[in-house]
Amino acid sequence: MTRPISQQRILNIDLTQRKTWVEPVPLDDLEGLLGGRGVAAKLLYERTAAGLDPLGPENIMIFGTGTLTGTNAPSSGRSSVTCKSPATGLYLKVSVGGHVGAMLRYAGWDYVVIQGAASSPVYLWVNNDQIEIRDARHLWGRGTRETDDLIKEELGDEAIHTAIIGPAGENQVLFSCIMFSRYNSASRGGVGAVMGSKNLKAIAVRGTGGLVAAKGQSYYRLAAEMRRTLAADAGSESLYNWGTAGSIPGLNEMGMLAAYNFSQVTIDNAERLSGQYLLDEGYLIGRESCFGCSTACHRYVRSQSHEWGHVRDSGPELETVLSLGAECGITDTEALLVANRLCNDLGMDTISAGHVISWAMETYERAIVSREETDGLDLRFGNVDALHSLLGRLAYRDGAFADLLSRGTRQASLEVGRDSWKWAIQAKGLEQSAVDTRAAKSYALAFAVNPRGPDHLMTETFAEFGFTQESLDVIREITGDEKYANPRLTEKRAEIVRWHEDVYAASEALGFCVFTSTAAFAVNPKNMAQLFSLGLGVPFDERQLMLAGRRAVTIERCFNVREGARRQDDLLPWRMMNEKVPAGANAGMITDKEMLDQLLDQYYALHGWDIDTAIPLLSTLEQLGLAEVCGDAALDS
Amino acid sequence: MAQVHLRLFGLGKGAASKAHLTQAIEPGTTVSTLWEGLRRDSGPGDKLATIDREGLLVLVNGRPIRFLAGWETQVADNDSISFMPKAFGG
Repeated sequence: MTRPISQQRILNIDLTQRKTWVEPVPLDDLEGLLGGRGVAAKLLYERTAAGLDPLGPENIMIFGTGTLTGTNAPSSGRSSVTCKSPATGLYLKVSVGGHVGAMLRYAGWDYVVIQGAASSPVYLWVNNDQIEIRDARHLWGRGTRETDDLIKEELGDEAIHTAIIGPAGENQVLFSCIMFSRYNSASRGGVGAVMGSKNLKAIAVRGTGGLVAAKGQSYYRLAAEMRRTLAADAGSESLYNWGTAGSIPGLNEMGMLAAYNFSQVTIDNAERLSGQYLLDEGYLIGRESCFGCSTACHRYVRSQSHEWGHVRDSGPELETVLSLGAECGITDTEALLVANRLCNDLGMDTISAGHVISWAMETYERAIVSREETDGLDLRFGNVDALHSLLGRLAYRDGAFADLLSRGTRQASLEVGRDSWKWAIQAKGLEQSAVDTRAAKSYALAFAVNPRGPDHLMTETFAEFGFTQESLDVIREITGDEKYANPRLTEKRAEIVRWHEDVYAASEALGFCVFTSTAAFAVNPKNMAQLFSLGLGVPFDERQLMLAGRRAVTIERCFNVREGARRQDDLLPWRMMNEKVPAGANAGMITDKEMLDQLLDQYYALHGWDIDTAIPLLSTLEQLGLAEVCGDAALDS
Repeated sequence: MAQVHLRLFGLGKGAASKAHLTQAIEPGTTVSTLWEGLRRDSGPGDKLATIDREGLLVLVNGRPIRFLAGWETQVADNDSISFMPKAFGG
């Protein structure tokens, strides 16, 4: 069955009651929030209460699709999962590629909202309009790859797409992930643990319907034009050639490569971590695309020496080779292919898994934990055997030390004590992604105010480096002068961050991969607004699109305010604020607390939030039309 | 005589074979001079022979040349100059 893009539906599933029901998404919500990330933010705010246990049945999970997902809009196959994070106790949105989002829309669903918890393991089978809650006891304990195979075999359909947790999610490891379409990880914040707490092993989807744009010919012409522009973009070319790990040589040469738990900024043999090395040395044997994407940045690789085991699987991303590799003092390509596969199969976020291990390695090298306390592991930096062994133990919380680490770096450092929190690279309870925020001030601000913790996956401000004419144009548009395309400057950072927040949130609400709009710039506010207008058949312009993105960001902020988060929570990891860049071109640089405070003052003022508390003012919510949604969290003065 | 260290990444097999090389320089040598020299010495199929300057990330001692004097940045004894195609995403 084909349906209009604008007619969206929510599939609600109560796992406790084992019942389902359907609701429409009001058109007003689509126009005000675009869909995807924005609508999910509103749903989470409205359907949960402050203080709930993230791993209790009262937490909900919103599997959301982008409003343009499933159409021929370029690289628009993203979907999201939104819930309260067990790692931070705060707002959590994770964005993910693959094909599940498009398949859900073809099945007739735009959002799947899970509430309650099953009494025993189940999986959800969404077969167009037929919804089944099926027994998954035979799948519990199995890795994500095997589970994907078994579900397809059981349902007799290879075209099914799945979202699956591994043993880490089942065991409620606080950095467990959900694997989508086998190779795509919805990571961060312990989203897999939330699914595990509901005894929900997987969602399997098959859809055979379609979507139709209100102004079909114009929509498809514009989408095709955007696709051509994107294909010609240098960013797309590099992502196709080398994947995200193509940035490794540049980061290492610039002294911005996170290594040895962020205590160093370069590493010997860095090239072995790079996408160029995977290609040149024959590890790369294929590329994987998400739905509707011609860039194909995902890698498909095979091991060669098999020194650490045979791998023929998806390849590591930039953040993976940094977190599991350089941060742990490891540059052995084969070892990292195995570590990446372990994380994906066991269902763990590679960024947090890498950083909790690199924290443990530094703690061990400082002789704060002994070999006896690590359950016999020799956790010196560079020990590949220890890395692989610990990854396996983490997923099962096997042993006291792995159990401690499974609760994340914040909790582990608090329990170990003795200043170990100073090298716990986390804020809000989330491990920082491997970006050196000391020498990139927009990144520093964006990481500090990120509602889920310090990473680049809610807002990324790549344009501040000014590496391309397009990025210089963006900075000029935001600030009036391209001279502000300089990551060392503190001026205009609030403006740069807020613009990227708006664009990032809008991109995700529509289902676009943010690489297309904040790394390459072929997808931009103007053509996104045009596509939305043509798709839904409503007048819509660039200004409305940016406001819609801002509404999502504001609701997310209000969620955290309702949970008690305030200005003092908008921080960076201690090391990033107190230890200067030790070497290289940025030696001596720091974004210390005083500098961060200046950036925060500017940012809150720009948003119309109270500077002392970071709570949005009621007048700001009224201007955004959000007073009815989250006005209870606002400051009325 | 003064010399600089050239570091090349992702510029083709020929370039890869001389990924790290040391080169003597005259006073006043610029990044542009060094790049044109590399292109003259490139072999068939080398990406460095075909890539345009806009597609390159060039660093002097780790600092992008757009924050220095661009292609006319003068290099000094023992400087490290890195050339690589721009890469994106993370």
